[in-house]
Amino acid sequence: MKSPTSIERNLILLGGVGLGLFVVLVGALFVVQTTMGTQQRRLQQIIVPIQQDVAGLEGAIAAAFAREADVSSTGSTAQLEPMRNRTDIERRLTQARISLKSHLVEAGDDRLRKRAETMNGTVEDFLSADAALFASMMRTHSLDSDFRAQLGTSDSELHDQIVRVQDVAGRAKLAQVLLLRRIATGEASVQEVVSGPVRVRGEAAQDLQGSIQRYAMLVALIGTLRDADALNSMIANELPQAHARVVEDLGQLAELTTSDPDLAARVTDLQTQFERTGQRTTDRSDARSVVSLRYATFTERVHASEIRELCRTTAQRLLVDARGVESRADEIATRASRTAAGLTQAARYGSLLLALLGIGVCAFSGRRIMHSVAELRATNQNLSDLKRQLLDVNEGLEHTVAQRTSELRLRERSLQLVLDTTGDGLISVATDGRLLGERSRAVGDWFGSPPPDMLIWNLLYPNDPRRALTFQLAWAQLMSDELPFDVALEQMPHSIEQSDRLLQLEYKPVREKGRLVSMLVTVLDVTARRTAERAERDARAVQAILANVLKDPAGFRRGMAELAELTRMATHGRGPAEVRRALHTLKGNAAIYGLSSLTECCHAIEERLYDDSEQLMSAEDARMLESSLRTTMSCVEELVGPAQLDRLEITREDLAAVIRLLDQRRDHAEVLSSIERWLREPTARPLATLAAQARRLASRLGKQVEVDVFDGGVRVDPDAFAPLWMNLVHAIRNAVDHGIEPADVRTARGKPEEGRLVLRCQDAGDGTIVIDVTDDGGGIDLEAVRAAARQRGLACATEDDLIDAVFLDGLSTRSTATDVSGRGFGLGALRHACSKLGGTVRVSTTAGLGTTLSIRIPSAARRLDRSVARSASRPPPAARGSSASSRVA
Amino acid sequence: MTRLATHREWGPPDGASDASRITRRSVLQGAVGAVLLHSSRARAEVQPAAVEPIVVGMSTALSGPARALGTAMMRGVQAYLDVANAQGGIAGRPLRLEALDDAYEPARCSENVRRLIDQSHVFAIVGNVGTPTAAVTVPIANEKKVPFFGPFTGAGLLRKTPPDRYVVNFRASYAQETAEMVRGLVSDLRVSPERIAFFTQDDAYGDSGYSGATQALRAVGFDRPERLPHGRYPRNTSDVEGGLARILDPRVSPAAVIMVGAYSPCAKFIKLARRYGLRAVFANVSFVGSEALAAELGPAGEGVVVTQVVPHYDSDLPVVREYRAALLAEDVGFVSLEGFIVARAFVQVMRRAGAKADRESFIDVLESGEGFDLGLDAPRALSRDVHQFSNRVWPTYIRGGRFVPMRSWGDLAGGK
Repeated sequence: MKSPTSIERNLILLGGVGLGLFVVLVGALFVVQTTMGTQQRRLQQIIVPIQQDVAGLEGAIAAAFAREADVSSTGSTAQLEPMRNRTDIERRLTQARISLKSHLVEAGDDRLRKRAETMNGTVEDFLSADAALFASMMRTHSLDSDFRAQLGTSDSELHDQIVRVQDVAGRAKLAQVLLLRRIATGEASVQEVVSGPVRVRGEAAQDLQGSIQRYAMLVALIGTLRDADALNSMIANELPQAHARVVEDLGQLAELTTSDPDLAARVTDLQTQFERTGQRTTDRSDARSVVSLRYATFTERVHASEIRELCRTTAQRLLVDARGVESRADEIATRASRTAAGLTQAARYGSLLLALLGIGVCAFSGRRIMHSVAELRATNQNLSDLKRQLLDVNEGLEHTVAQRTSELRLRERSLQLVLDTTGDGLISVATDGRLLGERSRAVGDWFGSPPPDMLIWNLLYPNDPRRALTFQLAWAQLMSDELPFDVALEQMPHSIEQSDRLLQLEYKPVREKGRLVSMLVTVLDVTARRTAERAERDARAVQAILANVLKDPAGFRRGMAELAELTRMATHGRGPAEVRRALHTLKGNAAIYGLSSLTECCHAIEERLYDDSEQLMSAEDARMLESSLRTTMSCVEELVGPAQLDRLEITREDLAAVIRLLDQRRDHAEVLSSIERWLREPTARPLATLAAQARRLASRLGKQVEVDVFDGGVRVDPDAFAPLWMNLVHAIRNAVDHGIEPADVRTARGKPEEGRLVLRCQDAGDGTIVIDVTDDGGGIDLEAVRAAARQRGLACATEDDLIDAVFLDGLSTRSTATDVSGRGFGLGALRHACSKLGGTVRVSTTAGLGTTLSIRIPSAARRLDRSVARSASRPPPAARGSSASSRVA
Repeated sequence: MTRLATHREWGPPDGASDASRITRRSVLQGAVGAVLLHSSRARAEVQPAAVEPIVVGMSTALSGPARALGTAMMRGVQAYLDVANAQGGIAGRPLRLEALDDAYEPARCSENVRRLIDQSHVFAIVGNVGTPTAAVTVPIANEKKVPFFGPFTGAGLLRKTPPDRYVVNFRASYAQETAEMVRGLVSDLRVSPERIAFFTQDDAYGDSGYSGATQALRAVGFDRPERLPHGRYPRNTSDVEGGLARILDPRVSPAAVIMVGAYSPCAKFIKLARRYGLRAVFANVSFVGSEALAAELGPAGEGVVVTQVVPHYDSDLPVVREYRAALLAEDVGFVSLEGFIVARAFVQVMRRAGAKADRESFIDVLESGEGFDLGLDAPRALSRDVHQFSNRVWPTYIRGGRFVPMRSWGDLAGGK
C-alpha cells in the first residue's frame, strides 16, 4: 500500500505547490493593484484638486492684481465707488484658500501644510492692504476733487479780476487817447503826454494786466503739476514772484490813481479781491487753499503708491506660495507615479520568477509520479492473490445469513397483525414513493390491494393522473432538501375526497441515524365530522334569518322584494356598470339579512366579473343567481312561513293606549284612528336602513359621512310607502356620491372634513309627511344640468326648469357613470313613486353649500293606501285576513 | 374729467363747427361736473383742464441787464397767444406759454430749456432772447427734435446753410442788419468806408454783426475792413472805456460807428463818445433794444439809428394794426411787436399742421413750400433750405425821444 500513497502525496504536493504559486501570484497582483490604486487615488483626490486649487488661487491673485491696477488707475470717486465691493475677489481667495487648506491637510505632507499656513497669513495681509489702498485712493480722489473745485473758484475769481483790470486799463487808455486828442487839437502840450501822469498810469495799468494774467496762468498751471517737487519749485519761485508783481503793480496803480476817485476805488477793490484770491490760492496755513489741497493730494498719492507696492508684494508672495504648493504637489505626483512604475516592474519580474518556479516544480513532481506508477503495478499483483483467498472465506458466511433471514420474516408477520387491527390506514412508503411491505387493513378496504412496489400516488389517485402528478411533485420536493422539511410537508395534499368519504392524510418521517429512510402515511376517515360541521353552519344561517325576520318583519319583506328587484337588475342590467352596482348592492343587502348562500353566490359572480370591466353577466351566472335567490326565498318561506312576514307589530304600549281609550269610552273615531295607527310602520326603521346604506356606501367610496336620522315618531303604511323607501335610496346615493365632496376638496372649501347627511321625517301638522334628505355637499352643478338639458332639448331657462330636468330619467351630468350612481334614472323613479302617493318632491340646492331633497306626502294619501296598497301588493292569505279584521274594527 | 377730453376726436380747424362743438362739450361737461361735484366752482375749475392745451416754452431774460428785451418779447408772444386762444386756439386746443428766466446767462438757459422739454413737455421753444443763450439752445433743440422757433437773435449760428431742421427764424440776421447799415451809410449818406468804426460786444453776438458788416464792406469794394477801428466790451458789463479809447484814437476820425451790443453799454458809449466830441452816426442793430436804448440815452439819443427787423409799430400793416389792438399802449414797442409776429407765425404753422400735429409734422408743414401770411407784405414760403420768414430790415432813428421810420438814410443828414 506504499505506492498509491506516494502518488497521492505527489499529486497533493503538485497541487499544493501549484495552489501556493497561484495564491502568491494573486496576492502579488492584489498588492500591486492596491498600491497603484492608492497612488492613483492620491493623485486624483489630492494632487489634482490641489493643482486645481492652485490654479483657482492664481486666478484670484490675477484678479487681485487687476483690481489693484483698476483701483490705482481711477481718476475720481465716482469711478472708484463701483469697486468698493470686492466680495468676488474675497470669495475667490477665501474659497481657494479653504479648499486648498483642506486638500493640503488630506495630502498629509508637512511641507505643504506649512505652506498653507503661511499662505493664510498672506491672504489676510493682502486683503487688508487692498482695503487700505481703496481707502487711500478714496481720500486721494476726494482731495483731488476738492482741489479742482477750489482751483475753479480761484480761476473764475481771477478771470473776473482780469476783466476789471482790463476795465481799469481801458479807462487809463481812454484818458491817454483823450489827451492825445487834446494835443491833436492843440489844447494840450506834448510834454504832458511824454512825462505826465496819464501815460505812467496807462503803462502801470498795462503792467498790471500782464502780471495778473501771468499770475492767473500760473494758478491754472497748478492743476497740471504732476508731483510735489514741481509744486515746491513753483511755490518757492514763480508763484510768489508773480503774486508780488501783481501786488506791486496794484500798489503802483493805486498810488497813481489817487487823483481819480472812481478809478482809485476800483483799484482798491481789486487789491482786496486779489489779496483774498491770493490767500485762497497759495496760503499753506489754510488746509483748504488750492496749494494745501494739492500738497495733500500728492502726499496721499505717495501713500497710496506705497500701499499699492505693499499690495503687490503681498500678492507676489501669495503667488510664490501658490507656486510652491504647486511644485510640491508636482513633486508628490512624480514620486507617486515613480512608485507605481517601480511596483509594476517588480510585479512583472515576480510573476516571471513564479512561473519559472512552477515549471520546475511540475517537472520534479512528474518524475516522482512516474516512479509511483511502477510501484502501483507491483501492488496490483499482490491484490489479486489476496482476492482469491477471500472468496473461500465467504462461502462459510452465506449459510449464517440464511438463518438470520428466516428469523426476520417471523417478526414482520407479527407486526402486520398489529397494523391490521387499527381502524386507520397506515402506509409505509420508501423515499422514492414505493410502497413498503407494512400497511394496515383499512388501506386495502379504501384503495384495494396494491401490487408490490406500487407508487403511493398511483395508490391514492388511481383514476386521477393530474392529482397523482401533483402528489408526486410534492413528494419529490419533500424528499429533496430544497425546502425546510416542515414547509415541504405543509404542501403535501392533506385530504382525499372519494365518492362517499372524505379521507385525511398525515405524514410522519421515519429516520435512522438522522437520515430519512421512509415515510409513514396515515389515512383517516373524517366524513362524519365534515357532515356535522355543515349542519351546524346551516343552522346558524337559519338562526340569522329568523332573527332578522323577528326583528323587523316588514323590513324583511321589503328587503326580500328589494333583493328580487336587484337580482332582476343584475341579470338584465342595461350596462356593465349597472350590473355591477346591482350585484354589489345585492351582495351587501343579502349579507345584512344573513343570507349567506346568496352572498357567496354574488361574491363568486363578482369575482368572475372582476377581470373584465365591460363584461355583462353570463347566462350561466344569471341562472345561478336566480336559482340561488329562489332557493333562499323558498328556504325563508319554509323557515318562517308567509304568516311571519305579514305580521302586525303592536307594542304593549300601543295596546295599552287603545285599552285606555276604550276604558274612557272615548269617541269611536278616536279609537279607530288609534288602532289604525298600528297598521302603520314607524318610519324609524326604513330610515335606519337607509342610513345604514348611506354609511356603507360612504365607506365604500372612501368618504367620511356622518348620517343623522330624525324620524319624528311618524308612522306610515308600510306597503304603500315601500316603493318610496326603495327609490329614496337613489337620493341617498346621489347625496353621498355626487353631493358630498372628497375630504381634500371639503378641506379646501373650508368645510369640516366629515360630510353630513341628514334624513328627517316629520309630520307637518295637518298630517302631511315631510321627508327631507339634506347634505352639506357641493350642490347640484346647474350649469352642467343646463348643458345636459339643452342637449336634450328641454326647457332650461329658469332654475326651476333645471331642477325639473334633474328628475327626468336618463339625464345625467356625469360623463361617466360610477358603479354607485350616475345614470340619471334614480331621481325620476323617486318622483314617480312620490306622485303615486299623491305627493311632490322638490330639490333646493345652493352651489357649494349643499342640496336638500324634500318630499311631501299629503294625509289623504296615507288614509287611502290602507285599502289600495294592500290589494296592489302580494299579501299572503293570512295577512289579508288580519287586515280585513282591522278594517272591520 | 380729463379722460372725457382725451377721448374726443379732433376735427379740422373749422371755426363755426368747432365753436359749436366746444359749446356742446362744455354743456356736457358742465352737466357731468355738476352731477359729480355738485359745485359750480368745481365745474369752473374742471372746464379748462378738459382740453389738453398746447404748451410752448420760452427761456428769456426776465432779470439782469437784458430784462427789458425778455419781458417785452414775452408780452408780445403772450398777447398773440391770447388772440389765438380767443379764436379757438388750435382747433379747440388752447395755447399756453411757459416762460422761465435765464437772466441772459447761457448756463441757466440750457437748464431751463431742458426742463421745459423734459418736464413740461413743451411743443416748441418760442421767442427766446439772445445769441449766447441761443448758442446753447440750438444743440438741445436738435438733440431733442424740438422746434426752436423765432428766437430774438440775428446770429449766424442760427442761420446755417442748409438750416438746422428744428431751428426756425422769423427775423433778418444781424449780418443783414449790418449790411443794411453799410449800404445806407455808404450809398445813401456817402460816408467813406474808411471812416466807419465798430463797437461790438466781445462774444458771438458781436462777432456775427461785425462779420456781416465786413462782408458788406468787401461787397462795396473796400478790401481791408478788419483794419477799421474796432472797440469791444465784455458781455454783461458797461466797461466801454477801453473800446471807446480805440475809436477816439486821434489817428482815425470815424464818421459812423456800427454798434452791435446791449442797450446799457451802447448808451454809455454814445454818451461818452459825444461828450468827448465824437460827431458820428451811431447805428445799432435791433437787438440793442430800441425803447430801452432811447430811454437810457435821453436827450443824447437824438439821431441815433437803430435798424429794425419788424416794421414800425405805428405803420399801417395788418399785423401791426392787430398788434396795437392787442397790447396796452405802454407795452407797444419793436420787441413786443416781434414777439407778437413770431407768435402769429407759430400759430399760422400750427393751425395748418392741425391740433394733432407732432413736432415732425409741424416742421414738414413749415417746409412744405406754401406761403404763410404774417400780415407783413407778401406771404412768405419756407422750405428745406429757407428757415427764415423775413429778410427785411427797417431802419429807424430817434427824433425827439421817439423812433421814427427812416425813408432813406439821407433823412439823417436832413435832420441834423
